Amino acid sequence: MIELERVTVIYNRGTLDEKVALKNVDLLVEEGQFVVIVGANGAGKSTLMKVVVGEVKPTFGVCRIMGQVLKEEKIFKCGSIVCQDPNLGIFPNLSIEENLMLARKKGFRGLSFGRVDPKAIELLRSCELGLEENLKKRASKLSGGQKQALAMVMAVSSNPKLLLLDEHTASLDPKSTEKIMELTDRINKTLGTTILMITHDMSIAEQYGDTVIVMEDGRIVARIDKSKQKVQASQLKSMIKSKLTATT
Amino acid sequence: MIAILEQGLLLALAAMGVYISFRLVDLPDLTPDGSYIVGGAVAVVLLRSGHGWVSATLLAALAAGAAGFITASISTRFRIHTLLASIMVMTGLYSVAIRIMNAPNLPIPRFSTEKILSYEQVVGKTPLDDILGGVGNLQYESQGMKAVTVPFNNRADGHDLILIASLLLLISFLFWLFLRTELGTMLRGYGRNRFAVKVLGVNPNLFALMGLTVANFLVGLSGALFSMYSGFADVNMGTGMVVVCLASVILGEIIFGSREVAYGLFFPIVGAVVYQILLTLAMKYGYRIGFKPSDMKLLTAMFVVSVIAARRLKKSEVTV
Ligand SMILES: Nc1ncnc2c1ncn2[C@@H]1O[C@H](COP(=O)(O)OP(=O)(O)OP(=O)(O)O)[C@@H](O)[C@H]1O
Ligand SMILES: [Mg+2]
Repeated sequence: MIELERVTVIYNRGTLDEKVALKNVDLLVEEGQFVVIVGANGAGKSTLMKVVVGEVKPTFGVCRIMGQVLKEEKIFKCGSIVCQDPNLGIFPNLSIEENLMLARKKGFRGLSFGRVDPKAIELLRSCELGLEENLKKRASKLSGGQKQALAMVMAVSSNPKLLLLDEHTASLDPKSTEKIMELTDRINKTLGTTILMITHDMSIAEQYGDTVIVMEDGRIVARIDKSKQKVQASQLKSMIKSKLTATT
Repeated sequence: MIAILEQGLLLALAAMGVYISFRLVDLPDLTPDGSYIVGGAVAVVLLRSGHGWVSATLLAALAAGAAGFITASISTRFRIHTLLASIMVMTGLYSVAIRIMNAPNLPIPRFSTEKILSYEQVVGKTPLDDILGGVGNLQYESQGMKAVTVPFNNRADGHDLILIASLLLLISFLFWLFLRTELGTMLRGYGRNRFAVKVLGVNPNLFALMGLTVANFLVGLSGALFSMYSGFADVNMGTGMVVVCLASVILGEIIFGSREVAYGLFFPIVGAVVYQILLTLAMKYGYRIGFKPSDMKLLTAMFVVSVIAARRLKKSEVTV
């Protein structure tokens, strides 16, 4: 699904602000996997994700999606992203209904009057955040958690093969976080969507996903496969911690 | 009063264009200062060369729309702010308008003037007709010249008002319908979140092109009709157009408050009529407090700034 080969990213190359954000990163994510990335601020997690969506071009190395080097526009035809800011994933001036109508499929639109996919509303209801009660409500009036839930449902309602999540629960309270994470897990399990998720929340990294990747200073320093290594939840936390401290 | 409404509704067309660029797609665009003249210039030139008023108006609006398209292309292709791109286009259009008219201003004659242009032709009768009471038109028609028809009679008897109002209503209705479609919904969404459009696998720049083209099309339409209404096109008639239209939009927003009916398409319409009424009152009674008609632009600009300032003090996030 995602293939990074010796990817190096250097920002502002050749200037005083030169910054090596990724160093020789190799990464392989199979179809249907749920990969969690952890690491300190500035470790290069977001940069890695930007390389995957094609927003940042690798200075060296290649990034292939489904075996091909794709441009940004192409990647968003088969993938979606949800970021930390709940306002980024939705159209705040449109109603919930209109948001869902637009997210139903990827690509340009015609002059038809769209409908809302009943499956999207079902997914919305399953988050139990009260979003389905008033579909005519303007999205700007929703709470952060509700917005993020809507953004998640929008991101997957076109059935993308790939879902990228950059700290998508970072600004949410514990209850919303739980609901959103349950939804995330359900998307991976029931729809088979490949997920690449960044988080700073260790308990989330413990609980969800089947592979944890630890990043440090632009490198991947550990890859923990939960099922293979049969790690216990409690062990995982200390494993990640030890990996993080080992290099610093 | 009818004449004020007529002029207000003509202005409303342009204000609707400015509403689209500044509010709906959130791309501040100054092209209207130039595309308004282009609309007027093209319309007058086409009328003079014997085109009917319908095709002249349509082509004029298309020319103005093309100006908006150029602004959006420059802005998206070279990643320049639309404000800067539109200043360039607006300035360039000043020269273009003079080229089109081959003069800084041009009246609409009563007869098409492909070859000659004389006073008699413009007015439609000769001095001799005045003395003898003859009907000049016949004389020119017998010479094989086509009469220039404009849709307005300028008698303030409601004929012009009904025509302008129905055209405005038709356009608003069609645009409202468009905004309900999937494409229109995405256009509205683009105005507040470009990133989400990109994630949907659509190039957001397409909406910049679409928005500014439609906006300037309406401005050009307004310019063309205003020229026909007033009987001339002048290279200075577009100066300050954006500010006047923006003031109209803001007036409409103040009147409607937070009620957003029909995606706010009534803001520019009601606002422009109110603006025109205020303008007339200022012209008529302003002299008592030492006000000159030429002060109106200053007043309008001050109004726009003070409303934006007031909004800024109330909440932190404001769009121009
Ligand atoms: N557009 C940019 N231009 C220059 N430097 C950048 C840019 N984006 C990121 N960087 C730098 O690259 C490094 C990695 O940034 P990145 O955003 O990938 O970190 P991160 O792991 O996502 O951190 P965080 O946990 O804070 O989100 C940082 O040192 C950052 O300053
Ligand atoms: Mg980050």
